[in-house]
Amino acid sequence: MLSVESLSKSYGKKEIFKDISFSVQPGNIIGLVGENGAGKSTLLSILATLQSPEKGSIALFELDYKSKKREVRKHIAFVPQDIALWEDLTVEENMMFFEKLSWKKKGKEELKQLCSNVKLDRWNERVKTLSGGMKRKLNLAVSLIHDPELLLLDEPTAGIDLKSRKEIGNYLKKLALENGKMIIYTSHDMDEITNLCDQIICIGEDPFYQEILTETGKNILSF
Amino acid sequence: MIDILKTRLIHWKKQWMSLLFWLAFPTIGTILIIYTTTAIQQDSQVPVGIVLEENTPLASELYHTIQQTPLIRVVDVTEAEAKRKVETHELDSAFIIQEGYEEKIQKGNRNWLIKSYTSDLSFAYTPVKEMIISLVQEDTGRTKTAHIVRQISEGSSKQWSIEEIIVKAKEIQQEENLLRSTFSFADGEQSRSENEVTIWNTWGLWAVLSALSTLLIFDWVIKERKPILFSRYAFMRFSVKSYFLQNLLIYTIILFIIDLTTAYLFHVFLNEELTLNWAVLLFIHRLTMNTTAFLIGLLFRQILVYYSVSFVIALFIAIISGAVLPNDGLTSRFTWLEILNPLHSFLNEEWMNPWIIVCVVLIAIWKTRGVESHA
Repeated sequence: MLSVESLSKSYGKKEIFKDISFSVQPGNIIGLVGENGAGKSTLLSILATLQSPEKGSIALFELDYKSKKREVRKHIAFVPQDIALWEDLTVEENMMFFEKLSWKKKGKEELKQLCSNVKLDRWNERVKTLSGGMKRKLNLAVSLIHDPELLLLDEPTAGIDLKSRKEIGNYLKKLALENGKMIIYTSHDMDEITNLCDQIICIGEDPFYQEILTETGKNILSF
Repeated sequence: MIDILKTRLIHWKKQWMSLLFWLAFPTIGTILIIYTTTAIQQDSQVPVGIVLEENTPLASELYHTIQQTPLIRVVDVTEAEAKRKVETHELDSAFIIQEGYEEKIQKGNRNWLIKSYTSDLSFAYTPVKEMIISLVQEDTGRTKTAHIVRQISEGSSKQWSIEEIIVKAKEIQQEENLLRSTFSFADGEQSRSENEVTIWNTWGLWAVLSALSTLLIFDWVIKERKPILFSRYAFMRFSVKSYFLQNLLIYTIILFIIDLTTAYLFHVFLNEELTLNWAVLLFIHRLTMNTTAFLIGLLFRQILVYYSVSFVIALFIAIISGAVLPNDGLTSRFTWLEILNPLHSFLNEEWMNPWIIVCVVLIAIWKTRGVESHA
């Protein structure tokens, strides 16, 4: 379980967010929404241990983020908004490369299976020749090599075709339901958010988001 | 470490041709340059025929001295062959050390000691003739001196033989050699006597080519330092800095093995010495080059700018090191250039290299500096 207590963050004098508290149970999918600059990516970065909060505490399976940072990271997958892959290498080589650096050892067949789970079958193609959707799928597959419990995805479906978007969404749902993964992700696509998420966290004071989200009937937390 | 090596192999698989080229470039480049320049030097030697009509020590000595002159290629011929070959321009000119040479010298006779053949195309005849005349004059001068010393010392308790006086005169001449060149490369020797013409300092040339290839091989520091990829390392066994340092170690080991192979090839092809001392020097040099290239790589983000700077650095090293161009004029005026020169310790066969200390300290600072958010 992920437990977030009274989290605050500001850059200099600018307050990004204040007193955010929520918890995520295994199998939950949480959507992070808000206007641009509201602090979605910052919150995701803090949850990924890549930034530190000013106040508040976070614990993952009772592992404190401050004192057990390295241990916490073994349970986290962070899928950045940009494509963090080797463009000159093939899908196979990218998977093999990151597997060598991963906490968990996986065989070639397991890696291939991981790719086919996200509907990525161009095993021998160079990343730079793949479509945007394929790259996003590989970006996700690489992050899952070490079997993390908490998945943090920063706009994982931005700028890709509807089919790939659906496939990624379905896979995330499957991961949550069948494997009990905790998933937190940001998106600007409200349909996607309402379809996939069990709970929605709205950051920022823009009433536009509040109104739309109220209509969805989902469990909404606003900060 | 093994896993890092495996990730390195994945990258190398994509660039094996350029990697192989730059790994072999300093060694093959050095051997080719030295072979080519030696061949050109040999081809440009003037063919001069020498007829040795007597086998006395003085005549043989003159013959060997002419033979050792670097710009002359001596061809042993008979007088008839000499005439014919000069006529057909196979020889630039021919000189006959005539029978009775030693006897005439000892008697102080300076006429008709050497006979020569020349043609209208003997462009090197005059300088070669002057050189041979000066050599003969050395012999006659020494003999005359010996006779005078003998005459002066007559009646004294100590008596020297003519041979003893000549040997002593040669010793004095060598000790007080007036004509010495300071035209030298940075290889530890302060000067070379005039007839030792060495075009290249093998290790100096290799070191300059190796500096360039090391810098170009280390382009991985820029290519793989992508901030977007840094976030991945945070969730892996190795931090970004650990990944980079382990790669630095892998490159150092591999390049050192290549350096040892180079030392062996230079020993086989260029008669360079192969000792344990050289192995240690090579290791220190390799560590210096790699840590320097690593740190320089960390300063750049644009690969093309890095490549341009690499060539400029290699050129700068070539000029200040004295490895390719003689640098006595520069270093005698600007002594601080020796401190700046990263090849100085290596070319002077010194184990202590201040550059490596600076580089290791800088790398340690880089490793521990600040809070690495993605580590």
